[in-house]
Amino acid sequence: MTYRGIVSNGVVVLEGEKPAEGTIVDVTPRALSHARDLDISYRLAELRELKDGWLDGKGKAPASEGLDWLSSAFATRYPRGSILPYLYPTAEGDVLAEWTLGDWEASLEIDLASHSAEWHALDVQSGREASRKLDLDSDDAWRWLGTEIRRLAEGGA
Amino acid sequence: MNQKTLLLRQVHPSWVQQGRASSQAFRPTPKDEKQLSAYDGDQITAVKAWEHYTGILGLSSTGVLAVGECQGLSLLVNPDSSRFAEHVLIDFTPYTENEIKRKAKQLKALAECRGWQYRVQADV
Repeated sequence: MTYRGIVSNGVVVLEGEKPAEGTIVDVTPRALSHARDLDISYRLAELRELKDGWLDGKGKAPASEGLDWLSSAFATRYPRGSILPYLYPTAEGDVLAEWTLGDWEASLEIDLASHSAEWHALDVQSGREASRKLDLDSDDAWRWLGTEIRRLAEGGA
Repeated sequence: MNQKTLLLRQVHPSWVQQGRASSQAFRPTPKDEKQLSAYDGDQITAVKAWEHYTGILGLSSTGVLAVGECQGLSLLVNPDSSRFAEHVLIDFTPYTENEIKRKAKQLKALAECRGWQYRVQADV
């Protein structure tokens, strides 16, 4: 039996059927490479390299202290095992997290200065959508986020 | 240009992670004043558009995505040859920020289904 593994917050989360306790598994370099690309701290380190003007002269660089906070917040508060987001810089110097969850395109616009965020999810097939403001200094907000991502990944019923 | 014309959109390298483009690639930034630039795919190929964008205009692009569904999303497309012959503007001016966000996600999903029309370097 071969298992595929994804690193989530420093822990290898195995995909597919759950192996028995104590099973020793190999994680291939390719799987680790994939995990690295979606690893939060690795990606935020990439965003840290951006300078003002990164968007062909217009984009503001994300503030280093803001990225420190976000990296720490994801490491300590993002529900373990949850699907990791893709992370992108915004022209305004903030970070946009995005998930594709079946037909749902979900995003979290994260304000690095205020630690507030705006959640938006759209079912691109049906047009159903939902939005919500979140205070990312609150544990409740991160719990809600994890639950909502799981719900949408399961179809969003 | 007609309803079937593919509009070619350049994607900034920072808006691609592991081959997945951000919906921001289809959302005007504040500097764009709700007008999104694209190339008229009837007049230029994806690779030639990329060469023009990066080589002649000196701007950053990691590849080209395409959409042909603007009319279905109630987005007007206007030729704008004042910048260069193949230049078009997708007009988001009638819409609120939330509506723009929704349309950008729809365009991104459609473009993603269609696949990269040109890519500088594919992910391993």
